[in-house]
Amino acid sequence: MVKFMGLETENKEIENNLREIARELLKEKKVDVIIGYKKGTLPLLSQPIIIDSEEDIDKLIWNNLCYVNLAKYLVPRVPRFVDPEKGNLTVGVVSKGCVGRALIHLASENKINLDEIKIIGIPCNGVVNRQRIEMEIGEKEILEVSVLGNNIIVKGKNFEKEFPFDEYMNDLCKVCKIRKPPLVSKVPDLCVGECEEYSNIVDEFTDIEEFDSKTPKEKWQHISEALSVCTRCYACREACPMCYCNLCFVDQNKPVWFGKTTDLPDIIVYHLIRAMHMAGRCVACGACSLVCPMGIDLNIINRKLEKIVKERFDFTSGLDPDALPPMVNFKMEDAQEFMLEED
Amino acid sequence: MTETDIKISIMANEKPRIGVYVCHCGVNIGGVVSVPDLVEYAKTLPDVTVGREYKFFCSDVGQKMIKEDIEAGLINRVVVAACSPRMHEPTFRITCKEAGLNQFLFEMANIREHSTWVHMKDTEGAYEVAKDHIRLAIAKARELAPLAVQKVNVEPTCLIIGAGITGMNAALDLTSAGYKVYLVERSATIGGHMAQLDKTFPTMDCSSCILTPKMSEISRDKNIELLTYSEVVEVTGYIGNFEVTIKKKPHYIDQVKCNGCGICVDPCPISVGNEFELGLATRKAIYIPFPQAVPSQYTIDMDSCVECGICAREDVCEPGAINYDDKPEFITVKIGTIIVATGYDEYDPSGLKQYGYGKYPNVITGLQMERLLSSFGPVVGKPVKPSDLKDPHSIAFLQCVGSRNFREGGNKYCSRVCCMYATKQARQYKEKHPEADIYIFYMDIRAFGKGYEEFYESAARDYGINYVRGRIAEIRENPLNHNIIIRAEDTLLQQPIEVEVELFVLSTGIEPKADSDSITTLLRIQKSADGFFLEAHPKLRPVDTLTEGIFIAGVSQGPKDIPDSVAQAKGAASSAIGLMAKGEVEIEPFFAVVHSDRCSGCGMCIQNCAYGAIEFVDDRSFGTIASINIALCKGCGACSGNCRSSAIDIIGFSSEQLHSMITKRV
Repeated sequence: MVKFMGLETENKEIENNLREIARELLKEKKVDVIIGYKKGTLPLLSQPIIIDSEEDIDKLIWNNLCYVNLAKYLVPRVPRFVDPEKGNLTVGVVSKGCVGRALIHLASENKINLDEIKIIGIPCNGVVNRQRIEMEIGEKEILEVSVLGNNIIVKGKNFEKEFPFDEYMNDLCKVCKIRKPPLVSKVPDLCVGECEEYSNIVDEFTDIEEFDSKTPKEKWQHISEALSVCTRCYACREACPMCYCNLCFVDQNKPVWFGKTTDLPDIIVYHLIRAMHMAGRCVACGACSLVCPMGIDLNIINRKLEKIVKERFDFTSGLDPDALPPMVNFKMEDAQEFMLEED
Repeated sequence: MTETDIKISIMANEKPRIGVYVCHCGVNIGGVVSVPDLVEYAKTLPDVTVGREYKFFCSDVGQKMIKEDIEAGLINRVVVAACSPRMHEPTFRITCKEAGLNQFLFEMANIREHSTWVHMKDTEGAYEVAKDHIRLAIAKARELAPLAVQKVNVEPTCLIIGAGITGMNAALDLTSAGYKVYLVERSATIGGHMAQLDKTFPTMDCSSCILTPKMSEISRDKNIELLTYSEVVEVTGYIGNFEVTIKKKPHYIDQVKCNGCGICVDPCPISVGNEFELGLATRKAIYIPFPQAVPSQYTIDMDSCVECGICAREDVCEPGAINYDDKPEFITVKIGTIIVATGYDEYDPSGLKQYGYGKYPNVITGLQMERLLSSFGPVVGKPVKPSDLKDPHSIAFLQCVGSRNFREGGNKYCSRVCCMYATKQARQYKEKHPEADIYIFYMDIRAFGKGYEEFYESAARDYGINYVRGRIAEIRENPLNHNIIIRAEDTLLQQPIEVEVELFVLSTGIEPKADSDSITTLLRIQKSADGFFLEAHPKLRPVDTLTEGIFIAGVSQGPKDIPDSVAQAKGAASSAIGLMAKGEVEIEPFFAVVHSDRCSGCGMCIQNCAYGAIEFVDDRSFGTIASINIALCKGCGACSGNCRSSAIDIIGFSSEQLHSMITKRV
């Protein structure tokens, strides 16, 4: 019953451009495959698609429901984009800002060879906060969604509801400073489509001001309450482009670092260790929160980390494939006063 | 498979049977906690089959108890709860080895330093802490695996940092044993502080007369690579295989062409304070520190030089040695052992306002007095008052300036040389001016060395030097003649005294070199609370450091006189020779290993490794993964701590071992 999806006015143009670029890339053999989004099986969703022939190009879409961070598909535990004869394939990735950042950061961790990548840059204006809308609709079934201007119109049997997009946008998108993929000066023809050069990113971190103003005790309470519903399904880990370890620490059994239960201490250990692993690496795509079946807002942890890394080390991940994440890079002038801080 | 390999594989597969040995350490442990109770507690823990106590397990009898249990097959893991592993881990490892047990199946619980010493007054608390330590050690012992030691060669070369009397003596001992020595000295000449002294107590032999022959011996010795005006800038590697980078500072004079004629000195228009004469004289911007300096080539002090070009003129420097564009030069050498003999700084008494140093011209320090007495000093051995350059008719010495001072800013230790040098200087002046009045104000006279007491007795009896026991309350200057008026209490007569003297000498003490921190960071050695370098054991290993292959000697280790410094130099040299003569040392196999299946090849450890010991390799089943070069790895653990998937373990401190300790603690 789904008639159309997407922001008719603006996104149609982007979508057409995208198909144009993709067609050209495939035609001129600049890439062997393209990873992008296609229409989802449910109204509020989209699906990733891998395209290797021109006839499938029209399946590519772009709208405000393209949540997934496609960079994840380039760091599988077994290499996937390999031709038995030709070797590694060149991949074009439909990239909003955070996908581009993820790709560039993964290159700094030797996961991606930027020479085998084409970033198809897209100017992103944010994705819809699916969970919030679903929560407000409640039990009723959504049959049709359209985003028109600033209105998200959700239709179902016997109901129709409008939501303002600027409010029902994903929280991370509201404060996003990197909407187009960053340009990499070292690899000039990496980016096709719309990319941008970024220098000195200024972020006020207004979204976590409220959290930051809490006392350590209140913060702890907030975090433990939010996490207490976690079922440890690891969807957040599976969606995260930075979670590519061969054997995740939670799955190790020699030694068993901590319990496998869903008791609060074990949940918290899982999330806090994962947070430490994300410090200076998270590209703020929000994939973890968007896939959480329990609707846990992990963005607060990630944004707080991003803020600490920015303030202490003046580092923004995913801009420069040669820059080392601060947790790896030791400089004599690194701020160290936090060692004495009680906070 | 060698015999050891077979043995190791057998040991690795045995079920752990742990023997726990709790030491009384005299009353150090036994006097605070109940050792029998600790043994009983240990026996309740899993896999513990034997628990014993003894007064001193480090003694032969104690070690024999452990050996007998191993040989009887009762145990295959040993836990000794006693002192610090720094102290006796090597002892007990050898015990295990001798009894046929792999020496790495041993673990030590430090219940002395970590429990009974720090919680001496809280016996119950100490008991709980000791229990924790024993439980942790047993937890780790259960996870221990037998390991094979690694042997590395020791390069037969020694680096000596500092060419004072200590460094020089060590160098000569090493070359006489046939080893190559790199002798690095920061200043433009060797000789150190001893070159500044006039005579030496108690024998009154002339300092330079006994020093300069040694200096020329150094410069003649083909096995000594003398690097003056140079500094060590980087030290990497480990015992037997250090790689040392030395910076040769630019002399701005070609050291090969310069023949030391000294014609350049007179025409040089720039005069600055002379460091060697402690500001009592001047030198030119082109200089040698003192006439007998070794090497005898000149140096330009570029901080003062205005590059007027006079010295570069052909009629001034005939060999054409001047080169204003001289650049620093860096050399890298392979070194087997290192001796640190960086010496000391004289205490600067300017901070002690009550003694007027720096304010009144006739207040000088002991080392300045030494230069005034020196026959090649600024006044050729006839001390004068700085105010009018006339002979003083009365001199007062004040002892313990900057030493034995428990107030803030002072040094608590005794500098050990001031009592004797003040006595010596007083005697020297008395010999030249028998009519002069000389006072020495002291707290107590420490004349501990061979012949020192006799020297002091004779100074008081035969030379008529007035020793006054008491600290000086205040001094002021007589504005008419710059004399110093001293008010003090003679504590023996219990009455205040006031004397007016023409020269006031502060017997300043010894301090660690102001920049000794750069040496500790460079060599990864420690300092004790007083700021001098820390020896491995205050009594039994006085010249060793806690870093293998690095030794300390002379005043850099603590205040001492010339005979003691030379004795330490010889000690350090003999320790270094011992290592190099053996030619190889065993190093602990505590390096990093990569679990290939866990590594995802992010390469962050490569960035992290300070020693460049990690590189990528292509593994057939796991793709590109990290791999450790164990010859370069120091086992520091930076890579292990940073690995998100805990794919790197440090042998001997593996995740499993540490995790087991932590969980047994919680």
